[in-house]
Amino acid sequence: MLRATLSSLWLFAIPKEPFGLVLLYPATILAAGYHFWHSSQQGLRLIGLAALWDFSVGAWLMIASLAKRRNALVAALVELKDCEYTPVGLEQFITAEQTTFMHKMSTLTYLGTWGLPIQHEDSVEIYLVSIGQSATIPDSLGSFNLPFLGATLLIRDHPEDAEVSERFFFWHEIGHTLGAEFALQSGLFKGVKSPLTALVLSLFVLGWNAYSLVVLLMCFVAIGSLFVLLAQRRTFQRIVSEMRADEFALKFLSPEDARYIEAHSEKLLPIDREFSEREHSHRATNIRRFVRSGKSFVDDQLNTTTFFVQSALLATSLIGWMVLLSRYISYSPQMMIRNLKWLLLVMIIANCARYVFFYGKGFFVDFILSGRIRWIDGKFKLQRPVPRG
Amino acid sequence: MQNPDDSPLLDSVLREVFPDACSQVGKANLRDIIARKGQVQFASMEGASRLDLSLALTLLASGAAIASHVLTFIKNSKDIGSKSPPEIILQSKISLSPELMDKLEPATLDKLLAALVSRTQMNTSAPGSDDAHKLPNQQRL
Repeated sequence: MLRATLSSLWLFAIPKEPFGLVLLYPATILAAGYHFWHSSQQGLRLIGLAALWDFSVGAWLMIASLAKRRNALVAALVELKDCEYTPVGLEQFITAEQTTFMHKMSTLTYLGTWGLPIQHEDSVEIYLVSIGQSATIPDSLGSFNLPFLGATLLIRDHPEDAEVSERFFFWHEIGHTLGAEFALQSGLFKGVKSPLTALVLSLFVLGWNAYSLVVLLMCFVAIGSLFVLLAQRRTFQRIVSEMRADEFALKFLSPEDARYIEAHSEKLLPIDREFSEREHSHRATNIRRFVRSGKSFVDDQLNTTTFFVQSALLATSLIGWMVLLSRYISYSPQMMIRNLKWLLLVMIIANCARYVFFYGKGFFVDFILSGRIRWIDGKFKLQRPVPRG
Repeated sequence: MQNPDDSPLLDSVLREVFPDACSQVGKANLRDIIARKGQVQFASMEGASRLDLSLALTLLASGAAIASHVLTFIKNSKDIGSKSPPEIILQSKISLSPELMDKLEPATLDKLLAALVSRTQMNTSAPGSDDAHKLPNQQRL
């Protein structure tokens, strides 16, 4: 338990580079800057409270990121109304060799080695969807991934009974549950919201003059640049995630099936409305290259170093402008501590309420998938549990 | 629900005209679309990591709806057995409502009707074939 807690803090709460620092702890940077310029006895207390504030804003954004996916699942289940759901165990058709490969690729399994209580197989729930009286069917093969809480896959055919392309699509969706994109998705979702909130709050404590106005403007320019960089990264990351999932899926097909997918990749890949024709074609080309050579070319296109350098430069410049901005804060430390305490209290209550709401929706999802809640006479109704067997 | 005897015919027609779409959506989706003559609703999986099959599903639902209508039209037409395939295709097309006509591109519609008519005729001429697909006049003969 202690190891898991310490690992979680190290992995998720300790920034490893300037980019992580400014996105996770912007208010702390402002408070530390304030203490640097106007050293006072209350300075360290203010930094501690600011760190707690940043932590709670981070928690709020994390819950929001989780809630977004769960809300999408709830919306899909509500739209599917009277469909029946049959659970399908991944262990029913995955071989030992495939399991080993999946573990090798899984971030969740990696986190398990750090002591976090996560197992990949336990975190993936697969349901076979059967049509009901309302004749509603899912318009996609969908995987609802909740970072670290698990993934729910809604499929129409049992993978063992499915055609080659369906099996490819199935393993493709399993590829999305591996967790590598969880952290990135979550990070990209949070974006610049946290530093933006800190800057907006700083408007209330600033002493206004020409210098503070210019520095504030520069802070917003730096945030704007980070926002643009993250937006570009988000679009690019989406296609890269798809290509990675394609490569993962191809590893689970027999050589003949992989060759079939290679030969028909352009036609078989459904048109994704979020991608351009060029991106669609690029994805099909990647499949062909991967089948022929067995090598991944996705990493060649990621330009991780370029992104790291760009983000580090922008983040460092934002940190610099924020530290300079804290020089123009005119409030006394006592006033700021008092206000921050109230804000923190409100944030903690809001976080708890949002988490309870999020958790409650989880019950709704479980009850629909297990048949405890059914669509009867135009509305969802709670049913008595039916004894199995 | 579709006459169960028509399902294999519709299945083979849809697989011939829309091979990629059939391959994408899989067996269960195709079976349900055929069983309900294309009268299905689609629930959006927006927000999921997903393979969007909506275009393929819509195409198949449209194809199934048109094919079912034309099949019923052919069965109910008393004098259709004496007509040539192009004439049957033309009459079938005339029988379609504007809403059904608009569901498919003209070239795809022609391909679907041709496949359907040729299958219907093939079934009637094949020895031991299912009577359900015979044209009324030919059944009498």
